[in-house]
Parts: sequence; structure tokens; C-alpha cells
Amino acid sequence: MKTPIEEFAELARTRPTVLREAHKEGAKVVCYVGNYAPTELIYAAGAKPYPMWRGGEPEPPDASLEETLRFLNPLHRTAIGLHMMGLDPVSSFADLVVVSITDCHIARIAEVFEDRGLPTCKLGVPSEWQSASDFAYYKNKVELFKAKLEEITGNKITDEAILEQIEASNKVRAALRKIDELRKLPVPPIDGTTFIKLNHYATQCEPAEAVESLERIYSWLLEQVDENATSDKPRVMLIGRAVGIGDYVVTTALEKSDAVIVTEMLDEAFFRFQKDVEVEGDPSDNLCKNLYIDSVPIDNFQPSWGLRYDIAKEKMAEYNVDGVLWYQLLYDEIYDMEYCCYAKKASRDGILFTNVQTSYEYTREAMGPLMTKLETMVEAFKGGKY
Amino acid sequence: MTKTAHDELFELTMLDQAEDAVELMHYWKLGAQDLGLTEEDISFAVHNWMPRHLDLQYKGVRMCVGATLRELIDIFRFKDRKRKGEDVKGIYGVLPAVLAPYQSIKYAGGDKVYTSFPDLLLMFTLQAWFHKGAPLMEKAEAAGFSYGARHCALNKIGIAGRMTGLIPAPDVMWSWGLVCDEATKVDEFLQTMTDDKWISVITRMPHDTYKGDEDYQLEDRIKYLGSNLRDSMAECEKALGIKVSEEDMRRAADDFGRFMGKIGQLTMLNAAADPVPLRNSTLTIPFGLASIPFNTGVGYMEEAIDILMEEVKEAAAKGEGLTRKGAAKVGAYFNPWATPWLERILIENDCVFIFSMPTAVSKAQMVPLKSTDPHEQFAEQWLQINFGMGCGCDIRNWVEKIEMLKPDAMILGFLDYDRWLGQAQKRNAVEVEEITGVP
Repeated sequence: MKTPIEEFAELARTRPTVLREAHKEGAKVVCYVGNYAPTELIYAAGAKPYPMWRGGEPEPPDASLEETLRFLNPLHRTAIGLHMMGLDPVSSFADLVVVSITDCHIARIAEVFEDRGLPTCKLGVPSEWQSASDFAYYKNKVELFKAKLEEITGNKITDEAILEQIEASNKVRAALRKIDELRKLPVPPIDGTTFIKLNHYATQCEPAEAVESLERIYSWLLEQVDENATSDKPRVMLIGRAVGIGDYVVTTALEKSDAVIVTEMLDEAFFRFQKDVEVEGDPSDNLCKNLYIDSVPIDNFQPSWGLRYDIAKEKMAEYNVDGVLWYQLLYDEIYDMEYCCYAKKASRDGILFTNVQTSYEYTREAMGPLMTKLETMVEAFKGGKY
Repeated sequence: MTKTAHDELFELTMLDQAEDAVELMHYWKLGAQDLGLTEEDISFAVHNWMPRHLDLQYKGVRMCVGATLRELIDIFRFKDRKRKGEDVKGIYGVLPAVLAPYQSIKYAGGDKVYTSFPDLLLMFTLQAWFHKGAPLMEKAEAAGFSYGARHCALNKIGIAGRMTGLIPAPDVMWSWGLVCDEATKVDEFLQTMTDDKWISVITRMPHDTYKGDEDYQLEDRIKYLGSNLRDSMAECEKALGIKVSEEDMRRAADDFGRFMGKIGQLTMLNAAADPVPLRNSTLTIPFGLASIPFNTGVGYMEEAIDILMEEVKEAAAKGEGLTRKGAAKVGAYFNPWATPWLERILIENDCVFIFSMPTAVSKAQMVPLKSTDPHEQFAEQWLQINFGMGCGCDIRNWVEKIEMLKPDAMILGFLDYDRWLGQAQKRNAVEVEEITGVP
């Protein structure tokens, strides 16, 4: 018999087939890259969203090299690489691909989408997130995206429809938060890799389906909680740009090395669930505020690193973290700079941490040194002196 | 009295004839010490490196080098003034930016304000002329700005310059992040990694235009950037305790437009000659005036450019140049002036760079500005530059420049680590080749 988590995985796995069928029957499908296009608007327009967040395979980034710079990170090269290889299950029939332009990596990828003839909507996300004019810029881009959705669907997006979708997505957030709370227990009933997968699954089905699945998973997890249990497994916080859908090798390897990821701070390929979208007031405005102002500022926002460090530190205390794994995508230059600053502050504050970079090359030759590094890290975290 | 290498450098660059030659020499010697340049290093540059990579037979070139060296020396004068607690405030910026806003600040602040892009100045001089940039780059890598992540060499020099104390901390750092992300983030990096304190002013804008858009014709884009520049300028004024007048801004904008025109003219004159008189590594030096807001003023370089233009005309008329007549002429997306031996290899093989995309002026840059508001004019000026524009525009600009300057081939791929500009070299090559027929 399948566990509720396996059932949820199955639901997510079949999502492209569901979308293909829906598309044949006239539904509009909107792919999205990045995290700043509110999916609530897509649903409110009567369309179906699909995240292009896959990662973890070496071939798609390589395939993209015909048209991309090799120094773009492998996550974004995967998005276009899969499409170029004909392996993306949805992009070939997408009615719109909306790309959140947060940095040069993703901007250049959007350009390749455009060159390849995909119906591309570029949603500019300015970096000076504390400035009122930049919020206005972002909000204006969201309005243009909204207009584009209305154009492709022929449906007017009403405030009522948006509010309905906000309420639906808030239920997903609440369900994820409940499960996340269990990760604070001395022996969490769910590991970090599985939690990240749940987050990914939640973006690959309808909100109502996600809520139902997550509620069942929560009940199932509760049954497994032993409140008296203790563990000497190091509790790890994961920080990075993204764990792409399918890129679970490093987190799995870490947790197989006798550690547990209890919390994370990820900028992309992750449904932000920590804070509900406000329901009072202008719904479009509330969506923008939730994503742009109320969420943890991403690494490329400016300034952000000081605040991000403080937020990470608070989370470490909240989740009783022993050490940090900085998970970095190869050639992600701004994350590399932030890591350097993080390392300086963490050393000062006596925080244990290490850095793993990935190019998505998980060959046997690459895995040997990686496992050694992770095992050494876990031992050091156990001893509290990495 | 025996001449020192310092004297020889001043003779070569004609700084020995300057009215303030003694003062310049004083600060140069202080600077050379900070830069780690020994007499031997300077002698190598004067007798070997610079003659091999720059066209020093032209007085205009020697004057251009002198004007840039004067600007380098001025860093150490500023450093000395800061050390003495004099009433001077420094504002730095990063490449690429429209210089007019910085220059207008200089015009408003006079001697109480020091303006510079010190990282670029070090790259222009320490690396390109003295071949001594590597130790600084290694210091940045050792500080965590890792080699493996393929960071920008210019940012490495800037970071190491600041972290080692070679370059004094500014009072204001106004960073433009309109092309790459890294340049502006260097400010945040340094804020964390050093104990110095300064006010950070940031001007950024997402790359979210579409193929076919011409940014300088998009009113909302001009207005947004203009407003951003207005806010940034106000922050700078407050931090520096100055007020920039419309007249300061107009004067700076006129200067910038004039330099770009002269540089474009020089590039055209050189490219049209056969054989070509000037290396691109040489042509890059006057372009410094369009890349760095010279604290020492525009007069020295502008005078040098005017002389150089006449010399190029004369050389072209006499048929004097770098290669035999009819040698292959190539263009580059970015001429590798900081590694000038690459150009030397080309010349030794009877081939010559005639232009670098950024130094060639496009038709868009000649379009009269529509805006009347000075900040929006700055924005418009920026958006007229091909790498100031968003996606797709560069293809049209490349085609236009190639058709105008008629190279036999284009060499692309320099600076390929730049996450924004690097990609253009790969993506555009096929399309531009198809349109122009130039390989």
C-alpha cells in the first residue's frame, strides 16, 4: 500500500499528462521560471500553471550550451536545455512562459526562450526591493502579466477570482507550515529532502489537491511522532538559490550520512509558505507585497545579505540547528560572493558551516569526494567543531 | 644627475613638462610604493612593455597615457588629503555607467569632491601598462572572491585594491548595476568584508525588454531610470553636502556627448586607414574619458585626442601603420586591452583590430535626446548605448557597426564570464554572421 507521500508524488508525476489533456480541451497552460509570478493570477484567469524548476541532470545544461554561456548556472540552463532536447513535458504546448527576471542568468535564459519562439512574458523584478519606486515597477510588471493572461485566456481576472485563489493558496501555505512545524521536534518524522519534495509536489497540482494531500500526510506523520525520542543526528539548515525538482542527490546523500535537514532558506524552485498573503485590501497588491516585500529577500536583492544572515540565524535558533550547508550552483557568482560574507560572519558567531557546489554532474567520480565531504561535515557537526 | 625610471616614465608620458610636474612626481612616488611598483618594474614598462603594446611614436598617444597617469596619481593625492583630514569627500562608481552624473557632481563639488572609478583606473594602468595586475587579483581570490566561480577580473582588482588599503574608502559609492549583477554587489561585499564605512547608492534595472524593443525609445523605461537616477543623485548630494545644478548636469552631459563623438571619429579615421595606424589597445586609452569620470578634468585628455586625430590623419595620408597595406582588419566585441599581448599576436600575424564594439559609436547614440529633464537625459544617453539596452538590440547595433566599419572578420569571446555581456557574444554570432556575411 502506498504511503500518502507516495500518493502525492504520483499526483505530481502525472501533472504534465493532466495538463496536456486539459490543453487539448481548451485550457491554457502557463509555465513559469523563477518565483515572482503569482500563480494565483494564473488560476484566477482560468489557466493552469506549471513550474519549470527541474534540476539535477547533467545533460540539459550541456544541451543548452549551443545558445547559452557556460557560466550561467545549471538550474536555468536546465530549463532551456530540457526544452531544446524536447524533454520538457509541458513547455512545447505552453500558451505562455513567464520568467521572473531577477538576475542576468535568468534574463539571458528568458531571451533564449524568446528566440526559440516560445510565447515569453518577462516579469522584471528590480533588485532595490526596499524602494517604493521599485515596488511600483514590479507591480506594474505583474499588471502587464495579468493583462497577458487575460489576453490568452479571454477571461477577465476579477478581484473576487484573485481573492478566491489567494484563499486557496493560503491553505496550501498553512498545510506546509503545519508539516514544517514537525521538523522542530527532536526527532522529526520527515527528513528535509522529503519536505522539499512535498513543497515541489504542491506546485505541481491544483491547490485543493495539494491541501488534501498535505493534510493526509500531516496526519500520517503525526502517527509516527515519538515525543520522547532523542537523536544525535546533526540538525542542518540548507541555504542556497535552489534545489531543483529532481535535484535531490546532495540532500539525500547528506541525510544518508546521518544528518537531517530541518529547515532551509531557498530563493527559487520553492513555494514560499511562511507567510500568508493578506486577504484584506487590493488582492493584486497583496500578492505583490507577499512575494516582493514580505518574503525573505533573495540574494541578488540589494541590500540583502545582512538581513538574510540575521533571518538564517533566527531560523537556526528556532529549529535548533547544529550547522549550515550552503548549497551552491556552479558559476552562481552572486551566491559565491554572499557565501564569502556569510562565512566571515558565521565564523565570528561560531556557526558551523560548509559549502557544496553542484554542476549536476553526479557521476561516480564526483560522488566519492562529495560523500567524503558530507560525511566529514556530519562528523564535525556532531562534534561541534567543523 | 642620473635619470630614474620614474623620470623616464614622466618623460615618456610628457608629464615632465607639466606645470605641476614636481607635485605629480611626489604623489607618483608615493603611489608607486603603494602599487608595489619597483624601479625595475617601471623601467620594464617604459622600455619594454609599453613600447611593445602602445603606439608611442605619436605625441597624442603619449599625452593620452600622461593624462591617464595623472588621473592615477590623483588617487594618491586624494589618499594623502584624506589621511591629513582635509575637507574632501570621495565618490566612486563602477563600470559601465554614463559618466555625466559623476562629472556633474565633480563640477558642483570642485576641489572638495573627488570622483573616480579606481578599479578601472588600476586595470587601465597597473595591469595594461605595467603588467602587474595579477598580484591584486590573487589577493581578491585569497579573500574568497574565488577563481572557480569565474568572477570579473575588474571587480577582483577593485576588491583587492580596497581590502589592502591601496585605495582609500570613499564617502559615497554610487554603483550602477545596469549591465551585470556583480559590479553593484561588490559594494555589499566590501561593506561586509572591510571595516570601512561609506554610503552606498545603488542604481539598478532589470533586463526585461523584448527582442525588437529599442530601450531609448521606451518612454516608461527612460522615466523609470531617470527617476532612479534623480533619487540616486539626491542621495549623493546629501552625502557629499553639495547641490548639483542643472547647469552642472548640462555641462557634464555636453562633455560626455562631445567625447563620445570624438572617440567615434577617431575610431572611424583609424579603421578607414590602410594600413591602420593605431592598435585598439591604444584607442582604448582615450576611451578612458568615456569610462572614468576624471577628477583631474577633461582638458588634458581632450587636448591629447585632438592632437592624436591630426596625427592619425597624417599617418593615414603617408600610408604608415601597424601592418602591410591590405592586411586583415578585424573587430572585437571587447578588445582585450588589459591583456595587450593578444593584440600583438594578431599584428605579428598581419592582422589588426580596428574597433571594439563599445568604442564604436552607434547611430542610436547620435539620435538627439528627446527628454528635457536632465536626469531623464542621462537615462536616455545610457539607453542609447547598445549594452545599455536590453535583449536583442545588440544584434542590430552590431550589424550597424560592422557595416559602417567593414571588418574582414569579428573575434568574439573576450570577457565571456560576464553573465550578461558574455552571452551576447555566443547568441548573436550566428545571426550577425548571417546578416552581414562577416565571419
